Amino acid sequence: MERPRDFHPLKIASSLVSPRSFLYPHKPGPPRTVHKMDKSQQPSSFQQLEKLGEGTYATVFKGRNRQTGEMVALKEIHLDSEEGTPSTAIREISLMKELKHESIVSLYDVIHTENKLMLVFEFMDRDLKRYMDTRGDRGQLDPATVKSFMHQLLKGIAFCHDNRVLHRDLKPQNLLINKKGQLKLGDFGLARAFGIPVNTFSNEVVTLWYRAPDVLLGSRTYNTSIDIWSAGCIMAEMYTGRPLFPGTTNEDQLVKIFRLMGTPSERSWPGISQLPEYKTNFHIYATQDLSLIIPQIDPIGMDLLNRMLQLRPEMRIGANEALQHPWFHDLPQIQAKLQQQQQQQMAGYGGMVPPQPAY
Amino acid sequence: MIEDDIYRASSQYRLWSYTESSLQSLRATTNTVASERVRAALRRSREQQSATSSAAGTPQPGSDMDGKNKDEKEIECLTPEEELVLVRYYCEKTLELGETYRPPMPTMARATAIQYLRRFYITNSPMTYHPKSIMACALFVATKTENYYMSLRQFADGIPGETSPEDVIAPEFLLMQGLRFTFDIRHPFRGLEGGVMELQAIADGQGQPAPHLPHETAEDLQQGLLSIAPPPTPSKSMSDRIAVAHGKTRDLLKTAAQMTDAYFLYTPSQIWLSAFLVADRPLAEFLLDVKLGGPVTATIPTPETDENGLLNPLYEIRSKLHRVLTECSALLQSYTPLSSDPVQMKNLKRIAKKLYHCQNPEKVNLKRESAQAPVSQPDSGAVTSESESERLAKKRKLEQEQMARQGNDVFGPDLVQRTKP
Repeated sequence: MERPRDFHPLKIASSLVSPRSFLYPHKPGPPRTVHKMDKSQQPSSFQQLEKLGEGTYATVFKGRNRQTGEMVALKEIHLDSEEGTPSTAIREISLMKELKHESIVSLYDVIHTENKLMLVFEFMDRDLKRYMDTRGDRGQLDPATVKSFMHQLLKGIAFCHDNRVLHRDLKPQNLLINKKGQLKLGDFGLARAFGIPVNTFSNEVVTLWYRAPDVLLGSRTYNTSIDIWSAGCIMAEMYTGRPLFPGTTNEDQLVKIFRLMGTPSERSWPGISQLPEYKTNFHIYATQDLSLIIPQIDPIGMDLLNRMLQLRPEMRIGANEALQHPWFHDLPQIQAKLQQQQQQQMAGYGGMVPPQPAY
Repeated sequence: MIEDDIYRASSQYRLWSYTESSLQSLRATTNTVASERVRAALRRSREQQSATSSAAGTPQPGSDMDGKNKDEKEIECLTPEEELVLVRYYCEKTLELGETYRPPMPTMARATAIQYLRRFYITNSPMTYHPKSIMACALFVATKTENYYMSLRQFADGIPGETSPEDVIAPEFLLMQGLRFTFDIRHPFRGLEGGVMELQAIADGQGQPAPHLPHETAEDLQQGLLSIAPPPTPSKSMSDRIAVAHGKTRDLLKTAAQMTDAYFLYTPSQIWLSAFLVADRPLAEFLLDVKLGGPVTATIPTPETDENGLLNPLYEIRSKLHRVLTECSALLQSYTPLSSDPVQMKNLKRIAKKLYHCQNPEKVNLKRESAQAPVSQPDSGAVTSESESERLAKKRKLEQEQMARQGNDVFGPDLVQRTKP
């Protein structure tokens, strides 16, 4: 924030966009047809293609709808003879049936086969982690792309929070990207509904690197602000190509956070000493200037990032408020530019466009 | 997004909200389809029996026909009303079953299970799937969706009588399909908590005026609350009164709201406000006046008209709401528990006997679940034919095992033997 900057975010965008990192254009395309499956449709109407990933309770395959040719993601859930359908799967189905939003991956159908359950999801080309690895410059994304992705991420989060759902496991691996440059929230296996009175939750959630300090300190009354912390970490990572706080243990994670954000105290965070994992002998670090670590970011973006990465959960900006942040005011121009440059690139390079690596 | 938009986006609103007549006609259709199937199935089983018994003798086509027609006349199926009584009984049983666990299962899990049963039986008939085999599964699935983790073994052990873990989960997919994979139930409990917190704040002099009544101060609100008509039963203080009304409302939401069609006909807010009106009318009306203004209190002269002589739109909303809440209150008050009413229990016993003769023999204890889901089921997920025969073979084995255990099912074969928790 302190560094003098005399350029406008739009100017940075136009000067820094690298030809390798364009998004695919948003073509108006045919009107989106609601994907409604005939109930007599058999899973054999999906051609099962390559495996996309393996989770704790499911395996994900790419699939093709034999009738329409449409690509889908088939999430195959292993039925546990001990417990029936895993509760994670039931909760994910339950949430996905409620959360219908352009920034949340769509669940089209649920299919039962002999001993497994198959969730048919909208197909997304790859996750953000992979996208950064393959399209970015050493993992770094250009500022225009970062802004577009952050806006979509925050829209998805805001929708979840409006519906009283915490995602709890936001990380680049759970954010899915398609060729249209859309980003959507996926993998709601750990998500859960919340409400008043505030429930106490387990603190064994969210991959360490994106875990909020209040959760790391053992708070069990966390709320929507934990997803905002994760979003902040992801924003920084999109700029630099590296995780912001790559901790190895709970304690190391806290140290990595404090080293940058400063060690909190009862003065900066009233009530912190009551948290279970709070130690009086935390090493005292001063607050660092984040823009030294993320030189790519503009001052307005830095302001938003700082509001998301507040140590004190109550101080963190809300998702709806974040969407109103001035940083997003030039989003329409940025998106238009992304589209235009993409089209130019397609025209200029012709067949030279590198093929999409298989997911 | 405002609350109403959020609710309208929910599956509960999109898929599980009805008018009284649409609900009635859906149930009638389900009943008709199920009755036809029961008759056809019974005919088939008789034919099979007579085929085996007359295998040695000479078949007599003419007399066979006559016999068939006669049999068919004898089969008396349940009416939609009788089906509903039966389902209600098992909803009450679900509440009791939740109570038998130590510690008792949370209200939310039990309420969710009851709504699963009620939803399932809109498109499925008790003649096809007996509720006693579905209820335990509904409660178990509810523990998963309501984050009340319990192992299947632990759950099955908690059921009175001998119910194996396999019995519990045998109909799981059938149930999930009947629920159209929507598991999220919007209950009225959360809204009640919010309303009570607001009233408490007003009582403490920390009330917030509604956006359209900015002139009201916290003191006005507090004074208004203190000057409402006395409660149905005297109370020591306003806090006490609010607490009593809170408790009574919760009880109504746990029972009457669960056992009636309230969730299908009204929104969660309408349900809790209606229950609150039953519990303490002046208190509930005060809250409505604070939120909407209205015909009841003196804070807003009624009916307000603007310069064009039009009614205050809030007044219209308030009047409309009044009508809806009155209807819903009446529905909640119409409920009396079956098990505490000898007349209703006698009727139930009659229905149980009747069901014994019209239970679909091909579906007893979850025969062939998803593959032959009733056609009336609107959005049943697709079912594979892949290894279908294998799956059915497995099912049949499971069924045979279950048949052997029959009589030890959830609450025993005799419906009327009450299991005291």
